[in-house]
Amino acid sequence: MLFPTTVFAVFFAIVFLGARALRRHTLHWQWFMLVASYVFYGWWDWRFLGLIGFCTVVNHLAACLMARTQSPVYRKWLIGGVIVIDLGVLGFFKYYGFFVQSALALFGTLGWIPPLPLIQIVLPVGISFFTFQAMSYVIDVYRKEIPPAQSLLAFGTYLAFFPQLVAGPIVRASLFLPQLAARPDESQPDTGRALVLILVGLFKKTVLANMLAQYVVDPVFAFPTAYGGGDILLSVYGYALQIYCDFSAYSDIAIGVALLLGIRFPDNFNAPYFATSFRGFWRRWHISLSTWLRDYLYIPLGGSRQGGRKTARNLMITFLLGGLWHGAHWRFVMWGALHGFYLIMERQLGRLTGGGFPAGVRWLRPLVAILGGFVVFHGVCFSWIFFRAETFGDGIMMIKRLGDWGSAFSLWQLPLLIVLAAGFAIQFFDGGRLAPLHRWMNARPVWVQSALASIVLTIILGLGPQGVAPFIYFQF
Amino acid sequence: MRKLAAIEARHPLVVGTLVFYVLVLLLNAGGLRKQAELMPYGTMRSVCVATISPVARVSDRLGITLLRKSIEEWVNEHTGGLNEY
Repeated sequence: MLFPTTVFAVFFAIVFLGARALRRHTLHWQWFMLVASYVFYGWWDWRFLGLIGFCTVVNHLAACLMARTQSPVYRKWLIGGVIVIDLGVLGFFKYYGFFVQSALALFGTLGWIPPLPLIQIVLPVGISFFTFQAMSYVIDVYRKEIPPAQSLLAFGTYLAFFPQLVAGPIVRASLFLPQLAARPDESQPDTGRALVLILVGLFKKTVLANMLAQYVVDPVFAFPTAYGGGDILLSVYGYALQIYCDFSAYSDIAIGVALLLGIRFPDNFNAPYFATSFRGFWRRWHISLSTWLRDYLYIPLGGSRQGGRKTARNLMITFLLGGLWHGAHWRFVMWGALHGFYLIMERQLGRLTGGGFPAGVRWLRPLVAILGGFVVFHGVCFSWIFFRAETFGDGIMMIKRLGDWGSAFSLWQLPLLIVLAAGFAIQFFDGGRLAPLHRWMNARPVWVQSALASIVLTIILGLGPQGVAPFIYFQF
Repeated sequence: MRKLAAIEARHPLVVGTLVFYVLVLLLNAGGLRKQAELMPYGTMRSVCVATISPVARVSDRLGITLLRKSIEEWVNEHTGGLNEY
């Protein structure tokens, strides 16, 4: 079930009114939300409901057992066991084919084909998101940062909560479960903010991301040899903006939908292409994943506390695995490696320059920030080539063709440049910059907000191309 | 009118939801009818077409679909170059 579809509109009307009617009955509300979330997930393929149910039971059981015992050894066994199970589920469904094919290719070069069964496995939608949420929950319970969920139902509602189930944001149990525990919730939802978020998200997805994909990105990435350097450059910029508009749109809609149901999610994007450093970029892009990787991988590896070399190693491991999280392909590993490399280089540069400006040249600061923003944006765009290219070879070929400026510039048309500029400019709406609009909306009666939202939605639907492509992050 | 205001005051979210869905349905009835007609033949398509057609007729007669139609025409006019792809 996709957000910008009629089916979802009908589904959400039922869920919203149902959840509102049950808001004074916490237990009924949780059961209702759990069933609604399972319907949402099962709409795609009901067979995988068993998988999410299995993850729910195993992780909650482990968390409860960890909370009950004081034995450190037993707790270690429990956390180790449940992490192996979570990673095993993720590894089997997502990486089995990748590792088998890589092993066959490796051994094939040595002249030996090992008898590894090559089976086609369907990738369950959102598996990377819900397994990471489950892992964060058990690790937090292991670290005694949070108590286990009040019940299996509460944990099941958290893990399957439909707004963020298939493409994030990765919401921590420490943020979600207290909101469940605080029910019954008598307050009115923040409809002004929710509607603005949903409408901005729909505009980003149905107008900007779809137009960029249809007219700028897909044609070039499908047949890169048919285009010259100018067009390839434009399509790389286009993809950088498309993936931002697409993914941040999903996050915006998810945050807005959850808000209407009375649950607050953290922001997942904050104008990432305005970053003036790679570190800054990762504080603004897919914030829920980058903080997850920081808290559960980078810091446990040692973080930046063990000297330059080990910090570089930790950064590279974190980003290689972060790349692999996106998909079972060497292209994603390369994307992660590039970001790891950028961050290591940035740290080295920071150490060489001392990280500050001498008193006499402080006036250079804005210029350096602009230059930094330019370098970061282009570095990130460069990494997106591998992320989006059909094959690793296509990515290399596109980079080579970037130097060919003799061919026609068939994509450099004013309407497309306007769409690209709009894709860049819409970042201004991130990070609470629309708070005055939220307040203005909230000051109107709800029916006025609804009438305004319906008119804006109609304009958005009129502006967007026909049909809605799935969100890019569904495949992860 | 007073009754409506009283209902709105007691259940603002329910009234808001109704206003939103009714308006969206009326404003986009033409587009929804087109979408329903493009569905593969079968019971689902028949149900969708039969449901949306009367709404679309009402909306057409009232001229409510004009907003979306004029936006679509404007987009087609100004993106002639794009549609060639």
